[in-house]
Amino acid sequence: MAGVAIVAAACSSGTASTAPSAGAPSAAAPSAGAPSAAAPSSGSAELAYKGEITLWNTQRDIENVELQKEVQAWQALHPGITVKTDLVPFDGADKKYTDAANAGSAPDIFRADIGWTPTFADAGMLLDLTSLFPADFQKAFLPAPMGTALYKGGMYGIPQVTDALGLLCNKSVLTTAGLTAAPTTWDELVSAGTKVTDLAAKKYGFYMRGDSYWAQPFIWGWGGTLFTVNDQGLVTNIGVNSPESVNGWTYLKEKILGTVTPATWDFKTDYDNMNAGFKAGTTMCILQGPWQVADILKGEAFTDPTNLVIAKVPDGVNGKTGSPVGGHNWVVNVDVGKDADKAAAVASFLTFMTAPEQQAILAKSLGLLPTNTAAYAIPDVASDPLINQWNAVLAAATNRSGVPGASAIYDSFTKNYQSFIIGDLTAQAALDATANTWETTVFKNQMAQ
Amino acid sequence: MRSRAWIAWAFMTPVLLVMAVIVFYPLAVGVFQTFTNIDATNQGTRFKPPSWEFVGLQNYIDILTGEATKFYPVLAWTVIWTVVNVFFHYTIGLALALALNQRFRGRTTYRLILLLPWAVPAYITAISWLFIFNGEYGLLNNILGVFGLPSVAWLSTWPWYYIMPIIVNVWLGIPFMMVVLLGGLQSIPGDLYEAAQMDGASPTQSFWNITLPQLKSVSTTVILLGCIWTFNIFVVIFFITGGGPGGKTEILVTYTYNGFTLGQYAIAATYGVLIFSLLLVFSSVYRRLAREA
Amino acid sequence: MKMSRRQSVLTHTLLIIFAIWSLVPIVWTVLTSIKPESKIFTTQIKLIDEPTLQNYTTLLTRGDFVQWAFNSLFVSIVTTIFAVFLAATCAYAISRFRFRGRSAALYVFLVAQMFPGVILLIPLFGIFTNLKLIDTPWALILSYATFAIPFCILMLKSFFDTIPYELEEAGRVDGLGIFGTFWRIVIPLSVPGLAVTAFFAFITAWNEFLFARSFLTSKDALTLPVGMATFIDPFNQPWGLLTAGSVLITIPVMVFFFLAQRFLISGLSTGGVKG
Repeated sequence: MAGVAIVAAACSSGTASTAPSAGAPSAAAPSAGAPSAAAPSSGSAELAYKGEITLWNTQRDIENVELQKEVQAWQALHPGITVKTDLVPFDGADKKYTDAANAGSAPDIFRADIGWTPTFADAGMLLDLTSLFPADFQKAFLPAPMGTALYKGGMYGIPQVTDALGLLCNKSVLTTAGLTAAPTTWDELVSAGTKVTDLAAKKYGFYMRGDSYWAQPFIWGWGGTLFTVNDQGLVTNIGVNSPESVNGWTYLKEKILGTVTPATWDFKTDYDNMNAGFKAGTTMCILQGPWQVADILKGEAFTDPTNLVIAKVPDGVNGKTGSPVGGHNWVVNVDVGKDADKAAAVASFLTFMTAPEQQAILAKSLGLLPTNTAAYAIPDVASDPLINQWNAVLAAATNRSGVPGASAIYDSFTKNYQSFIIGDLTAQAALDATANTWETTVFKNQMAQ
Repeated sequence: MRSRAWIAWAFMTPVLLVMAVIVFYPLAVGVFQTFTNIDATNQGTRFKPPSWEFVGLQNYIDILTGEATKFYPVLAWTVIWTVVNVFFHYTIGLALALALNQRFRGRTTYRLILLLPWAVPAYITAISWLFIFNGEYGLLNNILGVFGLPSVAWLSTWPWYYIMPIIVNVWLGIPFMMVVLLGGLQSIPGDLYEAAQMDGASPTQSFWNITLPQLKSVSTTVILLGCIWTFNIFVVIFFITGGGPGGKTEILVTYTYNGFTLGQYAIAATYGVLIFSLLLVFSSVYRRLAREA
Repeated sequence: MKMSRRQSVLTHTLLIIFAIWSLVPIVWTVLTSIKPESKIFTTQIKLIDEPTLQNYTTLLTRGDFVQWAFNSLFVSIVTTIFAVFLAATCAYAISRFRFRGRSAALYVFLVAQMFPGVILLIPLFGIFTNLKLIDTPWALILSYATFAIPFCILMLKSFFDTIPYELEEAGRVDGLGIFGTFWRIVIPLSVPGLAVTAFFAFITAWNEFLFARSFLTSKDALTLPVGMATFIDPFNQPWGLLTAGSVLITIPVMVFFFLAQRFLISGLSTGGVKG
């Protein structure tokens, strides 16, 4: 799902770079003749490639503006190369990319949701980047995001941004509800939330979404799983309809819906409504991701940014919790591999964009979470209270298994989830139907036999 | 009328050529696909050789008789959707046309205003209405709030999630019917009415015995077209309810489109062929009935 | 026939109710478009709240919005020209000539309306890819013209049917060939029908969303509907911009509409839509 991390990749000149690239990539850069094994980072290395690099970005306008600053910076270091960015709306971008790849007209670089990366890799559309980067390049990144770009032993992407759903709360409303910090369990949220909830007056202790992505914490928090994947990338077990999952959803329906949040609500526009209510200060807590924080801070309830509290998703039972990890990877068109010079240029660009300094810059300007571990040590990031709070969220988040086609699970998942909310299906029936669709359609070719 | 057929064909060739490429060939491909199991993973791309197979009529069987088939519920709603919409399109359209067929001051202004929905792009209409129906902040709920009534999550609550898209689509479709029927009314010779008046017929009798029969030809055509267009209209359901909640408001076209986006090409194509066949059968039966009546 | 008092009241009541109903979403959209973003999602309804043209200026200064408008205009105008020309020639042939296959052709045109465009998407995408027309306006122009033509043919055929053949015979006597009578006599008399057809073709192209979304990829090539949809990502719907954009998008159609509307009624009545 969408995670908007802006990888502010700064072209490090060697010092802050955590990847001990072969040959100090400072002034005297190794000759541009051998692009593949040589250190692709560094702004001062002269690249043999001249011309255009095409890039499709799925971020929003405001985010792209910031990204372009980094792009310009890299271009300034490499005159003769232009990076042409096309802004492609996230919705449907995977289909666009697939169509383009099949037609031979895909961009050189694409910002792919982590859910799409294994699918693209499996289809053969992506370039294996392993040989373009130093051997331990991967170690520079947070393991979970990096894991989403690995497939069957190859590295098919560089993590650009990571995210997870966290519990965002309004501090003053928490105080009214008698809490000094964000609730740590759903029980706590419900008991405190009822004190500030007045459904008729549209004051809510919590606001839920009709999107199954948001319902996942209610599976993990009760010990359920979605599905299990083995090393070969095959699905060994579909656990979404286990008794634990049913318990979690039943809890949602009986304890949360209708008490601290409306029993039914407008699914089509609930994302906007959720944010609007939170920004106006009439909702105590919501589940949200880092990509929305910049917008939330514009709300009248958060003119004082310290009023925003970010915590991990509350526990369900037995201290269990879970939050879907999302994010995006920079992936490279397999055709780029045919031109060694171009590949080197692309690698240089990506190293720049994912380097700690760049990630830190975008983290600061847009509140997005870096994927490069070293970025968190940079003062701007280290001192950012919101980002620090997100760390706690990430630590408690559930990493997704990379299976080709996995992003298609949400279509049936959401449909059944909505039927469950409006009372057409019981939790068991909804989850069974989901499991069935996953097994027979989504993972048709991926089931381990 | 001449019978120099070749001239006629010369005039028609460009159109037929374009249609052959843009409509008939893709349709043929679509029909072909229905006999296979083509989907996004086995269709064959420049990276992977195709691995799809022929499955004969299996897709049709699965969709029409399969256990998990959604075909009938979706079809049922699509039919209800069509009938209800066209009913209101026609009756309201006719009422407005009758009203506008009289001479009075301000009639041009009314006509202009009533035609406006036709001028607004359908997807914009849908988005505007979506905003009005917003469960928390929509105009409709705001108005309810003024009267002290609780808000309703229109698009997730029964029966409103069925009713709201109908309201929008009726709003969209009335102008066309109104205009066509107005045109039809204007071509009814006035002497028919005068003669009836002299015979002492009441306005209601004139309506049933003169107006409706005179409008028969126009009405039959416009109702048929209305049914076909409404059956297939995509943007209203797509933008207003998204087919939800839980897929309850899907009509056949939106359901088919969803299949395509999920990469299930053969199955979606089968749905497409079924839609087309249904409409074909319907229009044949309809036209036969209309001719006999 | 002057209306009786009672008739007048009934008539006006009916018309006023539906006029209001027609106007509500339009007016509400316009009112929303002049509100600042923060005032749009509120439980306190206000008709006008801090009016501002901010949304409009934002849109009009966006280079891409202007580009999209231009793309839409180009596609719509060319589609209209194509569709009207092809439909007129074809309809004329069907109207004036008796030939084998005539009723079959008519039936085909009626039937062509029944395809859900959806099922043509994938194969068409393949065709246009091979022709290298993806991401160009021509993929859309061809598609839209093709979809609009059947209806236009049916309409124009009925229309031509009402033009007495004697007029053309007179023209023939004067030495005009078939094409001459077509151009000099039939067409000028068919202005209302042509206006309707042109309006229909223009609207079809201007408003179309699904195909545009599928066949256009790069931002600069988008038409207005698809461009606007890029504002709507699942996580953010800037209603201020959307409503302002909606108003702007509707304006050209309204203009065309006001110009053509007196023809619309007569065009759809004479000949128009008959069986």
